[in-house]
Amino acid sequence: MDDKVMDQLPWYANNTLDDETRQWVASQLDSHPAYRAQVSFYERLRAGLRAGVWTPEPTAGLDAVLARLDSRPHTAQIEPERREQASVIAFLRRALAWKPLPRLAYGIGLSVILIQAGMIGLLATRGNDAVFSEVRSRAQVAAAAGPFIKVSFRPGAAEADVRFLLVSVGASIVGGPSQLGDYYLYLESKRTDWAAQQIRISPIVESVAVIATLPPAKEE
Amino acid sequence: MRKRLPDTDARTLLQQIADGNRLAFSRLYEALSPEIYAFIQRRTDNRETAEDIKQETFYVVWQSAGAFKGTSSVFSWVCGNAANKIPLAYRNRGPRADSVDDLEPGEEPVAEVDSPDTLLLKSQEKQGLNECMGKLSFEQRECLFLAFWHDCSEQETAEIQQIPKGTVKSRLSQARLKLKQCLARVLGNGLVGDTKD
Repeated sequence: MDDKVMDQLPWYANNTLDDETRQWVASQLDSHPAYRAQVSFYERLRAGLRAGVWTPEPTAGLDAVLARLDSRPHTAQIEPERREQASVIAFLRRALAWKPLPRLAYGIGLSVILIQAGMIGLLATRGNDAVFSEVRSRAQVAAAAGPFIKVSFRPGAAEADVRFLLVSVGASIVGGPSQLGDYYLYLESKRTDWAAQQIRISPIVESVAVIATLPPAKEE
Repeated sequence: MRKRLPDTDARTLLQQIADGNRLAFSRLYEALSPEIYAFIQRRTDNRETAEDIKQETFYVVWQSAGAFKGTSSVFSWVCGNAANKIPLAYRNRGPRADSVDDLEPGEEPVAEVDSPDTLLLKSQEKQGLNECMGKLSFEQRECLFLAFWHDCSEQETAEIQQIPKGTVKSRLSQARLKLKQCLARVLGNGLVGDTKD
């Protein structure tokens, strides 16, 4: 027997085949008694199964279900509201709905945020101001090309005396102090040798040397 | 047993239910509830539980009719909802001996008499069928019921049992062989016909 035909026989017996397949199976039944016997078995089985199974009345329990439906709204009624609740726009609309207390709270909160944002922005744009450069390390200021004067002051040299000396020769500190107490000076006027000589004779200076370049930052 | 509502009509009702139409719900309930009850009762083997789950299932149908995607028949979809409502304890049960005859003493079946064969089955064959159906696995037995009690198509049977169509074929084939051999032993070949396939 052909399995393709055998596979279709249950569905032929319960009448669920489409017309084309049904006609094809029917043509096979005409010429094969064995197929007819199978269909007969299925039909007897179908009748046997249907004879013994109890089922309730179609309307049994319907009233109870309908009463339950009355207790809660149908999804067709609550779905649009749920969809609206789910949208961000609807959330914002509800949040900003005219209610005095929430509006005051939102206003204060928004003001604080704006003020903080303004302060952050202001501070960020003032990075190159002179006021800020004063608090930076001098070593981070890019100096012009040498020569430079390397100088170490005697222990106990007063700050005022150091300042007076530097101003008198027109030098400014561009590096140091290093671990050995050396400072590096630069003169805009390029009179480095003269300035070095003037500094060397100062009683508060321990040593002086003219150098071409500043040492790497790690030696400072 | 009444002929089942055509699927196209059931789909129309389901669309109306999705819009909150109670009359459509009542019509679908009346059309499907006996079959849904039978489907649940076979899995739970308890009438009260089956009735409760049936009502719960139709409540879900009312609430989620709009979620029906139309990829299966309405009957398959409702059966799927019912199967989800059946507690785990009842699922994958072993074979039960009284799967065909669920009548209680003094109770008459509602099913209509379809053919003279039914009259014969009511006596000797019915007892033999009960005995032999009880020897099948739950899956094989349900497959036979879906095909010959619910008159499900091959596609619907596969959807409800959540198996490929090929598995439906093999389940039915194995069930038929076991059933025929058992019936031949119990009733004799004369009533069953040829047991060789």
